[in-house]
Amino acid sequence: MVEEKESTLNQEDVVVTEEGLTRGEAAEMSQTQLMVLRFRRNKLSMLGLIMLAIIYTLVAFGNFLGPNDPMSQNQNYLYGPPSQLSLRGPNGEFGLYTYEVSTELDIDTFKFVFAPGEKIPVRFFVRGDSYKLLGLFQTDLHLFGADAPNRIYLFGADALGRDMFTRVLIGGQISMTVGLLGVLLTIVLGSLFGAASGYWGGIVDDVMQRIIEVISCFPQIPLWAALAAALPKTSASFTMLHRYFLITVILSLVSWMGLARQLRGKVMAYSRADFTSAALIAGASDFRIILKHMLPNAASHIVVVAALAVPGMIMGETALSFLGLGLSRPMFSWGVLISEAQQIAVIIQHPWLMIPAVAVILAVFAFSVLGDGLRDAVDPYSI
Amino acid sequence: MSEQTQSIEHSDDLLLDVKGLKTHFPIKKGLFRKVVGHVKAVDGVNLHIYKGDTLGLVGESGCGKTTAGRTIIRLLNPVDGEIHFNHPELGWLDLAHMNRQELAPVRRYIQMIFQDPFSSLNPRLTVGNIVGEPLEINHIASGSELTDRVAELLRVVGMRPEYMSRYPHAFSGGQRQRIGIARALALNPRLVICDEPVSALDVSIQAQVLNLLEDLQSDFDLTYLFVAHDLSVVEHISSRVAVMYVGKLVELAQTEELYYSPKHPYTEALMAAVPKADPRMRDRPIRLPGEVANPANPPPGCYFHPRCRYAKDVCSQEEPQLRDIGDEHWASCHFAEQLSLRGVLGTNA
Amino acid sequence: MNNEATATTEPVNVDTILSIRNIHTYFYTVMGISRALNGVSLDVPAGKVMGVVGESGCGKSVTMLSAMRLVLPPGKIVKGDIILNRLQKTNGGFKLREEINITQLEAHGPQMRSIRGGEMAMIFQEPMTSLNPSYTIGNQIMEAILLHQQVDEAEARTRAINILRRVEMSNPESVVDRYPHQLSGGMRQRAMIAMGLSCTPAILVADEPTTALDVTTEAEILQLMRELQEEMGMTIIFITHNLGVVAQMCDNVSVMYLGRVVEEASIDDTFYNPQHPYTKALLNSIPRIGSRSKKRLEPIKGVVPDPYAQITGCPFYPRCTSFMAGKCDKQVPAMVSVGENQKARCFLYTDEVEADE
Repeated sequence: MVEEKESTLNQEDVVVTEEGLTRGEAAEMSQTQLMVLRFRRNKLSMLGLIMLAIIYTLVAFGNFLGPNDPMSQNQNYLYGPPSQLSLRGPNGEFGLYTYEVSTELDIDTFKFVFAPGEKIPVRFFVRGDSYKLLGLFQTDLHLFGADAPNRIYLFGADALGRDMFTRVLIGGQISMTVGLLGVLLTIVLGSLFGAASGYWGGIVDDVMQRIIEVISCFPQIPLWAALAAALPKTSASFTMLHRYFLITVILSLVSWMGLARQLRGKVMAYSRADFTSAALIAGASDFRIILKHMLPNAASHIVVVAALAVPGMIMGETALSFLGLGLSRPMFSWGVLISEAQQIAVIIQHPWLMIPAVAVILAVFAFSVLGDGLRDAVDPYSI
Repeated sequence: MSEQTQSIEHSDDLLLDVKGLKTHFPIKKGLFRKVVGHVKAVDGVNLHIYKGDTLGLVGESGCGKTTAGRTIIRLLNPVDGEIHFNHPELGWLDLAHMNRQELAPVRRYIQMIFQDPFSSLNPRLTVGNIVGEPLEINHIASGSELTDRVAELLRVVGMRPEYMSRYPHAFSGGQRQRIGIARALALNPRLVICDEPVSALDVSIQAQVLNLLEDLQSDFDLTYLFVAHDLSVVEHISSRVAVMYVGKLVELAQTEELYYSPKHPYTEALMAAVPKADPRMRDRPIRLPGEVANPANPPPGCYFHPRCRYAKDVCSQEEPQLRDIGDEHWASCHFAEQLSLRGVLGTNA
Repeated sequence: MNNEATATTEPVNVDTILSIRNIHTYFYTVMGISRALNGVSLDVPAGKVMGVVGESGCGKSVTMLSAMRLVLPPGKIVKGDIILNRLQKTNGGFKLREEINITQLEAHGPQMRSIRGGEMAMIFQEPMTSLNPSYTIGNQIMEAILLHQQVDEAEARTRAINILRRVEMSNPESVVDRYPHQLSGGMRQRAMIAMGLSCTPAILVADEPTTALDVTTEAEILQLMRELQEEMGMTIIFITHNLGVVAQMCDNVSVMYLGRVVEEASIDDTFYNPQHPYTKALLNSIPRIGSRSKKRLEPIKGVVPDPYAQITGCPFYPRCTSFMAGKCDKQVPAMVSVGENQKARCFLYTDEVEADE
């Protein structure tokens, strides 16, 4: 038997990473753990991750965080401006206060004027409109609110007097999940096609590539618009929820090709690698090779492509809804909210109606830096 | 094609007998990928290896030695030829045209060690998984028995068994080669094809791995086909050596014979060209005019004749055959018996 | 940036063309500081072929890149001097015309750029990546000529063809208009040598120029380089890990290990009378063709240590069979003379310690 003659220098305890891990510790870390380590070093991407965590939490608890029911209309507050807040009470006390608002119709301009009146306290953990928290339990607890009949409109109200703050939060539920669901489908379709193409090559590859090329020729937005317009009108048998899911399917049908192509390249490279040959000469089946050798190596790339695809989906859904081809009423997303603010005149007079666009920008930014960070963590040598 | 005029007897101390092996790669052009020609990577190779021996397979880039090795182990499909293998249980089998199923009982007896220590280990698997995979696939061991076997294999190649929970990225090139060797040994093979196993390693590490390979050969009764381009390494480890040129085998002999009294002009040129690690052995190389022949469009007759300084008319008309010109020294040259060629030391030693 | 080019008052007979003095080149990375060169000193004799030998990580390439001021961030020359002697050939040897301290020059300034390619040229291992695939061979050679010599394009083209002929490229008139991918490996390497020689440099640095070539092509290229060197009186610095190539090409050798030079000797002494344990171990660990010895190889135990690890003492001690505990692991031995024109850095021959650490 051969004994490896070790050198007299113990290198196990040499610290080899920024985080203070020794060689011995780093040696036991899997590729995934190493990638996580590299990801965490990237401050901007961590920011993106935190932003997304915050956004998802906010929209999940949207009904709790928003003081009003997103659907209820207030005839007295059409296009109402954001509620003013003050840190001083009516007698100068310290605390969070807002104002009673009275509505008057100005005869000359034929517009409603909202005049602030008495200062009233902002209450926390109040009882208000009832809803189902996380879709599960019925409750009527809200984080904050004002004593009835006063209402707080942090982001103002829309044309029908609905609370924009709550609507942005609730609309976010749709916008932020459409991306995830769509990406799931993209992953499945893209991986299947890409892996098959890359591993077997030959005719399979030729045919699949031609299919991908044909689909890619269609311009994205018109294709989405056409497919969405082809969906049936909402009815008892085809509910809003059905429409919502089909919209996500449509979005992903057009975007899986990028992943398929990327994966094809990677799988081709892996299938020609020596470790695959080693598995073959040990007698491994194609199934085992794809499962144990191709996919784990490709997984990191799939995650990256998926993360970078989400902003596209969010924008896609926003675009469709903006064009009126997306969700059906009364379901709404950020795209629907933005579409309600289409006219310049309206925006100039009531700029708070554009706040949903800010939400979209923040979400897309967060996903983009997250995706960039993931890509750098996964393959630090790629451009 | 370099066909042997004499056949080898399939005695029991012979392990591998390859005849007329051809591996061609199609060249596709055009919209519908029509096959317009073939790259004749391996074009009629005959070789044989006795049990317990090491046959070195040398040649320059493009000669087809790596392709030959991969064809013998059936990672590639030959277009023609026979690969006779002396299977311990099933006797002599011809592997050349077997399908995947038929090859299954053969796989465990022929294994391979790869050149690149970085791409030969799956970065996603632990060393234990990598070395144990052949055992898992063939249902030879599982659970704690598998762990024990893997530990034993690691010890055999000189690595600590604790390393099996580590990942390949933690190891140097030399250590990764050891892991690859442990994997190759997992199934107790008879024939191991070593595809440039030390070329990618540092000079001082090469010795470690070469010694390991030698020790393992005697401990486990292994037979090696050692494919390499470094003639010094091949001289050290091989008992017999075969030289390839543009897909054909041009000479096969005992190491000493081949190196010190070669019978083929190409071998002579190779030996003269190798830089010797001795400042007192500085001689002028034999200049080979022209370029290496194109395997997709080789010259007529002997593939080497355009560059050979001993070429005569017959060389461009008739292809020479690989024949035994005495004492198991095979050469494919029309004038093998007549020429007196320089060996490594510059004289006919 | 002051240029320390001083003309000496009386020409001195020198035989060193490049003097590398105690160079420390460090790479500042996320993982820590990699001390690629930890006090490298070399005197390159003029008009000869010097081999710089070592395994991966020893710093042989970085040494020459430092001399050419091609070390890019995060690498930096932290300490030390590199002096280029502008020499004039005389009957007896060389006379010093001028001394230039390269380390004092701006790495990308006009003076260094004039030296680089003009007086010091470099050729690399992989001709495919060193030659620009988008330009013809002629274009690339002409670029160097036009940068360093005052000639017009037509003359530059003539010179390019001439230099291609000189490197024994077949059909130089047609090769000059070909692209790298149209040439074979050997031809590409010849093209690269042509590029390097096009401005008749005083020093040619060859970084593993034949490692990627087949043995028959390698032999021809080495032969060519030897002939050109004799003809032009050029100094060649030949970086390699292949001891066979060293034996065939070099007049003297510097052996490096982990960022330091551990032995300097003539070619004969290196092979027949090595003094440093690393040199000896290296020679014993390689199979030597023609030796007809069936002796078992003696590997050097252990592995090359991590460049980020700080080793106190002699860099080779963990793998040394002559290791002396308490001494070798505490301090770095100084480089001392161990024979006529031979130096080694080892406590077996001295108790002197490396001065500045």
